[in-house]
Amino acid sequence: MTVDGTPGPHPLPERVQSELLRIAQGALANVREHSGATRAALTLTCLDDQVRLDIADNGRGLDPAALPARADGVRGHGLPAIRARAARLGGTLTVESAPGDGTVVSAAVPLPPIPAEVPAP
Amino acid sequence: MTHSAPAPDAAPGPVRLVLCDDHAVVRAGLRALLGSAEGIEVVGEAAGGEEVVALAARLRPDVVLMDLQLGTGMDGVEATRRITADSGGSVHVLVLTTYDTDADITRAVEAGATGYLLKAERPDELFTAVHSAAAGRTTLSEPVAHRVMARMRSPRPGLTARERDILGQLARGLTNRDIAKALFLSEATVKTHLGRIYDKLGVDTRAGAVAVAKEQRLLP
Repeated sequence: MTVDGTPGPHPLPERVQSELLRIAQGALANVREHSGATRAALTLTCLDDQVRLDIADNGRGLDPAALPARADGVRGHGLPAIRARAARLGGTLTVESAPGDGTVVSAAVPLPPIPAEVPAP
Repeated sequence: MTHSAPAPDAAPGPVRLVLCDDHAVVRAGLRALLGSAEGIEVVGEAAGGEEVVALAARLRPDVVLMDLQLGTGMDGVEATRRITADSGGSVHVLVLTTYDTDADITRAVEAGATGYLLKAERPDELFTAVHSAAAGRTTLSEPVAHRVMARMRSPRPGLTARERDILGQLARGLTNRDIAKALFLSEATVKTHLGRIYDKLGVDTRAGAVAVAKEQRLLP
């Protein structure tokens, strides 16, 4: 496992820190339990208006379209719970994967104050 | 032919000048042109970087008129750096070049060039600039001064190490997906980085980013 963080200009709000920690724990538990991966990387990208947490593995992958979209009544682990945590911070969760091709779970959380500028892809 | 009189604080006697250009025809033309100017004496000429550094050390001219692109071997920026350092700044380097990219200007000035002229300049402007350089005063061709001012007016924030890394992969032709795989990141995060890179470079396409990166020598 590698952790590659980009130091941000300001410390993250505590609520964001604790939710991101839970997201990391949940995503890594998924990697351990389901992926069969030999490598996982956790990357924290701190920008002035958002923070992104990527948990990537080189495991067996999954079909993102088959994932449940809602977080109702789920236990503490699992993608729906992770998605709910990201949503509580006003953020989004994306899951990029294909069968046999590893998985990247990426949480993007906006930071206050939010500048008008949103980077275009 | 008219040109400004030498500055009052210029050294007495003609300005002793060494030419450096890798094109023999250009050297001959400049020698003839400068030889016709009052108060300027061409004391030597060099075709390459190593040669002009040695010549400047031996002749100790007031001014070296320096081309930046010198074919193979040491380029004009490196030669400028050595001459300025070797002479303790007493030999002034006046850059005379075709190119006015930000990267060339910045590198030449950082290396210690006293002035930066374009080859499109009129002869009398060149003569004035030679006298100014001999007195240690800066002359910039108008388009060069314009670029310097524009750059200072809107400085571009530097790229982070990660952004440079991604830009490098972009320049090698990798797709977002390739880059994401290589860095163990999501494509969403790669796209976010690309957005920042585009903003910082003032471009809106991959090709534009690669072109600016090459022009400003942002890539390793």
